Amino acid sequence: MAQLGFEAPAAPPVLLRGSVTLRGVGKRFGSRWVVQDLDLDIQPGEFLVLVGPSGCGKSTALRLIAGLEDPDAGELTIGGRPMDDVAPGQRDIAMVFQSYALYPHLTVFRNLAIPLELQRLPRPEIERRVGEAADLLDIAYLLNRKPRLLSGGQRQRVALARAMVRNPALFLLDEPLSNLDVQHRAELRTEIARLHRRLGATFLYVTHDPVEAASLADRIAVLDDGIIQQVGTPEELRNRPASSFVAAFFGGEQAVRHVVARAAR
Amino acid sequence: MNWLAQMWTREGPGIPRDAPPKEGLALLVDVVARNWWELIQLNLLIILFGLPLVTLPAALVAAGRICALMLEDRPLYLGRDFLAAFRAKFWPASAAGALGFGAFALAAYAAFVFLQAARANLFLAMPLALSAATAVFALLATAYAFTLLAMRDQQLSLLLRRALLGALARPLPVLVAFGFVALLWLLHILFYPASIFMPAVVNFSFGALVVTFGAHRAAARLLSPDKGAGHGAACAGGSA
Repeated sequence: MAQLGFEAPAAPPVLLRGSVTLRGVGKRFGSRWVVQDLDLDIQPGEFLVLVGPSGCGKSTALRLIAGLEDPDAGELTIGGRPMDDVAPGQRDIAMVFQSYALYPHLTVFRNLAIPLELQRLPRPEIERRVGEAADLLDIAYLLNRKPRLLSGGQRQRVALARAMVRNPALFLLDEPLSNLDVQHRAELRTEIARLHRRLGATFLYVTHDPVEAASLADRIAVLDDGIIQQVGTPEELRNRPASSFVAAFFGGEQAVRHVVARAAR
Repeated sequence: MNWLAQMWTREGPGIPRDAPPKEGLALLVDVVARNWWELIQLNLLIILFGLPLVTLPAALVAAGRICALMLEDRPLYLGRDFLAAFRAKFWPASAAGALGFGAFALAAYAAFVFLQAARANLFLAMPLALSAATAVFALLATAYAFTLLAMRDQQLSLLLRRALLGALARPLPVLVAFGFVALLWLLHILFYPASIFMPAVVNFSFGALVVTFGAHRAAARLLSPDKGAGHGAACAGGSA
């Protein structure tokens, strides 16, 4: 971090910066609970992946943490601070979307600079930070181009760089690789893992792909029907799945037989 | 409205990482293709800021600053950079403009007088040619002075020396650029009133871009001895 020259915001205690705690968090749309009793502790600097089938509530959980949705139950703290009335912009987080969410009429440089312009930083500081983020993600040659010319992989790199320039304590990534082809997906997966090691920030990553989850995560939280089924390292989930659902999700048929046999004993 | 959203968000072909940088006319075409909308906005800025006429040199230097940033493929904040350059370069641009346009006007008037006289006395063709060449040279030197000033802050005496040297060493690209500017205005006159919007939309900014393009390479070489100062640092450093 020091060599990047980014300054850490002063607000939360350093030891807690980037930590996330969810206690009994729930969200309902109408009468249906899409997320229920979510209990999760994410340590500072951890790479946690929320994984589950489509519609299981993982993106909603991410949006609750980002502040884009208000929880109907439970407590959420980020960096040790309760987030009850904290606006998304004040949460020391950055979010990366599946659809990239770049401004099409602005150059890549301006897309990266916008979060810093909103902080009213001076121009040389903006140029320095954007330059560093661009160098780190190898997109310096794209800085003065508009997004319409960029491929999906290049756009997602730009989206990652934009998340990075503010030096947030917590990165929220909502299926960032889903729109990419296999080759770009593998490349960016490596890039994200490298970025996590380099920045030391907390990463919360949502995906429906168990292989992607296992290759990136320090720990994985498996979600089904809005309920956390199991939280553990990829090895734990593969070797000691807590339910047939987790086993099927991670280990396939053989693992399910193993769970069923274990339950029968 | 989906088609509109898709038009904005559709993925592009991608930009090859190791593509060789464009040079010459290919670079100019690329800059126009990428920045055509900014050029239209720049045209309006030039008209707006140059309208009082005494501010025209500063407006042209500020436009040159924007065009230099486009050609150098550097980050650009159109309004802010234009304003910052206009403010920072107002007095030196006005001084260089007064000298350059003054010299041009004098030489052009002399050429006009000698042209009238040369009809009666053929020997006066010599001073006619000399004054016409001086007028063109003054125009070239002014173009160089504006481009140099747009790229870097410098003392007026040094600026004039460099501008004269540039006009002597590489007159052809700027001459061709002036030919293009003349063609733009000729097209406007020929197709009037169909071309009534040309000056409001493209003539000034495209003209400024082409002239800056013509002078830029030589100007960069003239400025290279004091490279450490950084191109246009003085006017690019305004707060965002």
